[in-house]
Amino acid sequence: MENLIANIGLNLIQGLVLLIFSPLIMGIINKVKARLQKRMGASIFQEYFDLFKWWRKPTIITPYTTSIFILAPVVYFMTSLYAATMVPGFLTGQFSAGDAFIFVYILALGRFFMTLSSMDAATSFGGMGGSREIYVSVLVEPAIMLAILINSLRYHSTTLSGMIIDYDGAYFTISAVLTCIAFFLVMLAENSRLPVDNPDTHLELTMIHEGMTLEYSGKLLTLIHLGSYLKIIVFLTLFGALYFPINIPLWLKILLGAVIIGIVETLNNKMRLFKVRVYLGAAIVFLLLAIVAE
Amino acid sequence: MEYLVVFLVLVVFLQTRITNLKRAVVCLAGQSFIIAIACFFLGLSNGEGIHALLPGILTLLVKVLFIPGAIYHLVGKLKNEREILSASNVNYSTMAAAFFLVWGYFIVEKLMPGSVGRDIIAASILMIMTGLALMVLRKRAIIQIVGLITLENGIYLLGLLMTEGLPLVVELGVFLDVLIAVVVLVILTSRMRLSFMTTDTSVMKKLKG
Amino acid sequence: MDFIVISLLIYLLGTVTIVWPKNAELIAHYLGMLCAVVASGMVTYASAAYLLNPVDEWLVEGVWGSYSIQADAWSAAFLLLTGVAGVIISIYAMGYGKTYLGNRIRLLGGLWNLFLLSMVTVLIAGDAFTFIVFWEIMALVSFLLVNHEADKKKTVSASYQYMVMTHIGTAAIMVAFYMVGSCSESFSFTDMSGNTLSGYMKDIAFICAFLGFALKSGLMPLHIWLPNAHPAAPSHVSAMMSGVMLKVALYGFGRFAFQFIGMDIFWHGFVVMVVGLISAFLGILYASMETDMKRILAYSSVENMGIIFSAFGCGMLLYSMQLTSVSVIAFTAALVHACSHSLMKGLMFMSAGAVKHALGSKNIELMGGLAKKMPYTALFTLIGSMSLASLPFTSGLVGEWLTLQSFITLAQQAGTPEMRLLVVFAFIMLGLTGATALGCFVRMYGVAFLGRARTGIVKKAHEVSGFMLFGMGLEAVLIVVIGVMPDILVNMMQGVFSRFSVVSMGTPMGIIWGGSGQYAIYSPGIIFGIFVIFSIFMVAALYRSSNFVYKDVTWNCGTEPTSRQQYSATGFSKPLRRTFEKILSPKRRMTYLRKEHAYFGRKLQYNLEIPDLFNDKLYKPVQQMMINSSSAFHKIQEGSVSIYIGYTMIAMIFVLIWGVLL
Repeated sequence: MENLIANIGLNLIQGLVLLIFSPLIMGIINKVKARLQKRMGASIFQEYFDLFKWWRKPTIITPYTTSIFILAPVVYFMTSLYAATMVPGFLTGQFSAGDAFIFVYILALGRFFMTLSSMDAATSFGGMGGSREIYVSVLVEPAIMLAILINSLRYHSTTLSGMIIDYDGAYFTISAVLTCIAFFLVMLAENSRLPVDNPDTHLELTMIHEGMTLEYSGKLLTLIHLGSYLKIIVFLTLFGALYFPINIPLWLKILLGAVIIGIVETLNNKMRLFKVRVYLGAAIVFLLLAIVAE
Repeated sequence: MEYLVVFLVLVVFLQTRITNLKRAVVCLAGQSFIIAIACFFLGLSNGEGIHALLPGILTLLVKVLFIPGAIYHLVGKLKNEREILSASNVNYSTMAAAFFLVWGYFIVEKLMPGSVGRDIIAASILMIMTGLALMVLRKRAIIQIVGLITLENGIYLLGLLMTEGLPLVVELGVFLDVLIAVVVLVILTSRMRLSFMTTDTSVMKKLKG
Repeated sequence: MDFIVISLLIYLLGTVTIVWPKNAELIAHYLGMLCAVVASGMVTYASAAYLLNPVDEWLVEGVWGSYSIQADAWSAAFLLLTGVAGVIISIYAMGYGKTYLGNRIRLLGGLWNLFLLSMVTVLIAGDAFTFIVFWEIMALVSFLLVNHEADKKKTVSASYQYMVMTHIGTAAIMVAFYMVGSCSESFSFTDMSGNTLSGYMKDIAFICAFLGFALKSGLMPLHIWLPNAHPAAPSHVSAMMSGVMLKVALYGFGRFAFQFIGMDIFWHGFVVMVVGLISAFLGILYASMETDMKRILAYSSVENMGIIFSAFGCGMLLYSMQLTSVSVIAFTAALVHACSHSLMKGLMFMSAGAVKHALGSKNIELMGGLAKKMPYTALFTLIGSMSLASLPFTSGLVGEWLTLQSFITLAQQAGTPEMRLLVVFAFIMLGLTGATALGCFVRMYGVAFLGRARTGIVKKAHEVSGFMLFGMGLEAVLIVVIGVMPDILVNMMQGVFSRFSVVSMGTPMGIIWGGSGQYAIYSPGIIFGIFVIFSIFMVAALYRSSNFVYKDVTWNCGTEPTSRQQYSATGFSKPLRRTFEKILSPKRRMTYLRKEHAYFGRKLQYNLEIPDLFNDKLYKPVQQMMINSSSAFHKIQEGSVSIYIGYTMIAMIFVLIWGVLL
């Protein structure tokens, strides 16, 4: 029992650590993008200032909303935070109250409430964002499931800590590389990054995640942003710990992942919404090939 | 017994040639009467007591008196009803009956050579097939009922001979069956007359969807 | 005396309320429902006690001539599910049934009891005759219940469609029973389990059984009656049909698989699993296109039955590969998901009934903002929606997690490349299904309960009566309790398979499973605890300042936003419709109406119709073929009596000739 509590404590500390570093990762991504566009760009700590600014601003909500509208950012943030406590890597690795599937479903809980809140404000943009979010998630989910399946077949476990890439055996295989690429593609889609969604604009043609959050302000907006930053660092950690087939320290993998995201976002345009199925279809095909090559 | 069979065959042949409804019904009663006598004959030769007489009495009551009576009553209400037939139809019926008679004897010879009542078996096959032929070839509902009862009489005669007295329950069941069938048919025929002003069953084709 | 037998008598008593004097109809209704509640409670108690303390004897046993009843643990699991649903939905029906006052309400109450009675008896039947007889009663009574609102034309056609389909299913089941029974000493289940069926006959019996039971549980090519019958029935009836009757089909299929046919043939399990997976995905895909609340739920039943059957098929595969001890997880997954689906689908149909009761419509395009008018119903529906989207802390995830674990166990333990590819297919299908289910219920809940009222009918909406809320609340509480503490249910259901069980899946921590390699754990209790503690901090942080939120209207380029600016349900599912255009083949028709005003655009009418794939590609061609062949036969069927007698005569002559010549 003490062991359990100690493990839960460790998990929570890891979650908080990731929470603290998550805006920094966003800052790094933005910095990389700015430098590649030959701009100076803002400081890598800019996101902390932004979050602080949003937190102090007043929160205005539409009168048509129900309590789901306030609940949704809280749940979204909580699920991201809980996902952060689950990923293996820094402090944890022994115990978790759920395995890889639970990780996926915890994130789904956050998505459920966010999409609901998008319908709650009774505007067009909200519904548009929610509708597209569902569309993307339908295509993302099989890919994530397959990614889990590959590692669990390889390492005979469905827990995240048991699925950590094993550098003792043969780890730089065709299968591993394919999985890594596919997971990266999925990660971009899941976190509403560029080829799928543009996080920088509020144009109705592009917005998916931003459309859902359009009605939020102040403290609630802070929670949503923090939640999505956290989600990125969580996925980067997962990417590093489970799928990255080069043996370097985990923090370096995360940094590298952030830089790659920056580069990919600079090199690519936002693709048409209905091209996303081709994009994610490619990810699924990669994963299929990886399983066959296994 | 042989005389009865001869009369029976004669009546059946007569039936194929009759076109007047009333005469057909009378002829039917005659046929059933012969069957009833055959019943008494066979019953008394096989057993005694009430069981020996009951089939005959029932035949007499139901088939000779009640059913022909009911049909006769119905025919009485029908005006301008008569089987309008070309002579060839009647001839076909008679020829068919003749063929069935030959065929019946042939079957008896083939299936049970040397059996006691070969005449009766042949006669009953004749009745069965002729009843069917009447139902197929004639158009008036009344004649079709007559055909049905002829058929039924044939089966009954055959059963009577083959089993040397059916169990009582079966006999009662058969009678009830025929009675109800005939009652239904009579009712239907009179309903039909009310609806179509005729008992020509070919008008029923109009009902088909 | 057995509780089950007494409960049957009470159901019978409840059935008698049909002949209650007409001037006290309401009393008859309450009395009938009370009988159902009491009897179902007894069924629940007896079966739960049996499952918690597994003893080596029958739950109930009796023989009357060639008819017999006996119930083992497999029956008990379904009796439990029936009992719980019976209690809760009958409580709900006390309130809901009142809408039928003056509209044959006594008949509704009496048939309700008979329906429950027939289902319980099917579950405890000890021989094929009893099973078939009560299966048929169940079908007929549910037909009558579906047909209760017979003054609507749609209801009549739906219920007759149901009738025809269900009888095809019964025919197939009878063939299967006959085939098994003809190879055994008698038609009692105990004798039939020792049957000597082999080879092709076994395959044919399996196909017949699967066909019949899959039809009743609405698996995909045979689901066609389900989305029509459920919306037509009164809501508590659809809750019961979807919650329990579909599971009774699973019971029957399980009986065949475990006892009569065995599971040692590989392709049997394969077929069940693949059909299940396809039903799961296509079911939910159609569900997310519908706008009728109950049709959404009906298609979602197809989905969930698909998941249940795919888990069951996975278990059959594991068993056929001699992995007996690990096959338990798949069967447990099927049972647990069956139980939780019974709870959540019951709840959702009840809330659909509540909405219909309050609004008089089932079309979600006309709703919006109901959460403010019906706060409790909204809360319960939220829980039900979460559960159907299989989110954490609800019972929905427990079954789904076990299903996923059983698939991965199949890939892990079988280890062959073919099995891996099958599992890849399963994972893709389940991934699609899970995400689409989430989208489907976000759409349904968001459009109906959130946002602003789309039409005037919402204005008169009101919260429903106490009985209905109590029923829904009870179901919602059960869903959350099982979702947070799944170990009780999982242990109970695992106990059903104690004869090939080696591992214990339920622990006080949650559920664990080690068959797929390292022990995997799901302990929602702990996660829930952490969530609650953090949320308290969070809410405290948010509400620190006294006026945390201001309310003001959204900026809408200077105009007041209207309720028509909201996304409609049809619009919400458009991206999905486009993605799966090949499967759905939607028929769109746009009509430009007359221009009414010089300065504004023309009115546009948009019609969308999504034909059912199987209806178009399978049923309509078959129907056409039947019509063609009938018109060919029409030539023979002249309509003239003489011709028919002529046929008899020809047949007779033929027989006589044949008899003579041979």
